[in-house]
Amino acid sequence: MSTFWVFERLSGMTNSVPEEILSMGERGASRWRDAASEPAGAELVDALFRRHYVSLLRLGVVMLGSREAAEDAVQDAFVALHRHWQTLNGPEAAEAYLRSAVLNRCRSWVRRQVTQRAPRPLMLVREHEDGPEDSTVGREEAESLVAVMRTLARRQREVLACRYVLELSITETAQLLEISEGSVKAHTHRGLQALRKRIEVAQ
Amino acid sequence: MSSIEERLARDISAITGGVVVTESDLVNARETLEDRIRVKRRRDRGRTLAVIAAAAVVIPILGVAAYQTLDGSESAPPVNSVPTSPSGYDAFLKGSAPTPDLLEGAWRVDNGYVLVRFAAPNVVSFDDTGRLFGSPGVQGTYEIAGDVITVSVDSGLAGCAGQTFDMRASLPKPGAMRFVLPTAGLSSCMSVAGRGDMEKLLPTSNSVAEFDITTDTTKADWSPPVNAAALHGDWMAEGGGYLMEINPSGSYYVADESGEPIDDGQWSLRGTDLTLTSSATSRDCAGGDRLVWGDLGQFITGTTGMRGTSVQNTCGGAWASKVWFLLPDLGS
Repeated sequence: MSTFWVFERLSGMTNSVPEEILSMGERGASRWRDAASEPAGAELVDALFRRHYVSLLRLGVVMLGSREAAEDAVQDAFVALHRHWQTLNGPEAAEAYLRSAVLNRCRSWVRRQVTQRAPRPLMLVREHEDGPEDSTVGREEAESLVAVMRTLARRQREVLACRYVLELSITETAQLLEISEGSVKAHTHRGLQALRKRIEVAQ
Repeated sequence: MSSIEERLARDISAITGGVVVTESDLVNARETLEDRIRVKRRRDRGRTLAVIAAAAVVIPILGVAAYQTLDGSESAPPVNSVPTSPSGYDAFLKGSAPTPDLLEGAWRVDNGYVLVRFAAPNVVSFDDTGRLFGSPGVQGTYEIAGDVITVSVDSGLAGCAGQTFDMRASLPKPGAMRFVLPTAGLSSCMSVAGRGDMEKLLPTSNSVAEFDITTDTTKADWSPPVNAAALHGDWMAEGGGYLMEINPSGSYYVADESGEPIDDGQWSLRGTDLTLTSSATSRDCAGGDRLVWGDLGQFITGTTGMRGTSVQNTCGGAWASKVWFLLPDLGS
């Protein structure tokens, strides 16, 4: 069962006002505010979950190399969103909030792992115990550029994730990471250069 | 697209394509999220009941799982106990054993929203709604034996007073703590269970002190708070040194590196002016002293920041010039 089919099916099952508001983008901002002030505002969180969970989980897996850790990061992000959603002024702000929250939690997780495991380089970082459902991959991923990407400097890592995992534009990446567009370009360039060099060294 | 970009995109696609999310996975994840939110709501309601029934004696609500005793009969386990011997925990709990001196201060659990405070002589508080000083969800006393901290809860959320639980802890390096909590029996009182990490807020650890929310922001990124509720919670000063708590009840606290409140009183928001008026019990300020931040702005993108311009500071507190970030969001 493809992920796309699952997502399409679930989206189609929800023919509700929250989904309609999410689809309106900026035009839905005023309706968002109305819906967010009602008890049914929880439905907005529900709709956001169905819309963004898979892509956020993928982002987390790429950043962390662990599905279990990625699931925790995404869950935490949605709990934080639920706490703050009345202070956000539209569905686009909520989407940006979730992406940023997941990236920030990935950052914390990596920082913890580095602190615990230094001086070994951060490659395939595993949870304390591997479970049978942990989808951390093995040797193939060790040779993948994604594994190398996880060893890059934080900003380079996050910019590359935004550009190549979330497929955001330079402008969208700059907004999400709260940096200038020039910085996005610089970090993209330096990140790709670093990847290239590390492959050359490894060969 | 360069060859390195193509290869990166291909390798990313290979990983993301392997992230299969079935309908069942999605439903389970949504239910897990709903459970976490529901527990939080229940704790918030319980907090209200606790305020109303403050004088009542409550029976501890215990999560009981039967297990076999040595003679084969089933009986209730010692609830809220922590496994003491599994080698996995011993390997996890590296570092110094806890002492009151090492514990004293305020901590942040690395799940993103639980704060813990240890205060002299033996008081401990746990909270996850930004009321660590005002009305923490769990408050009690603690005793230390080896690496076990035994907590006796005497106030907080309804149903929690009277409970006793053990927390194993170690301090692997300054400003960091590892802990193991019971995995059952406390879910209505605490939103943290099992094992995890904490980092120290007060005195401020390096990892917290280096958290930076203002770099790369411009004035346009900061906008007035949407409402007074957007101010509620525990806020850390950028660079460390101070923790400010703004409660829905109208009270506020400011704590310094000692972990103790040095100022407290009532707050109010008028437009974009936030006023903190010190109470007569304030330690470092006189009753009636005012700190007014004008042009208050917030920056919300994952992490929530707040700053204002100090237009009045009759107490002369050094925290008046600080930029703040919401603690439950740190690392979120």
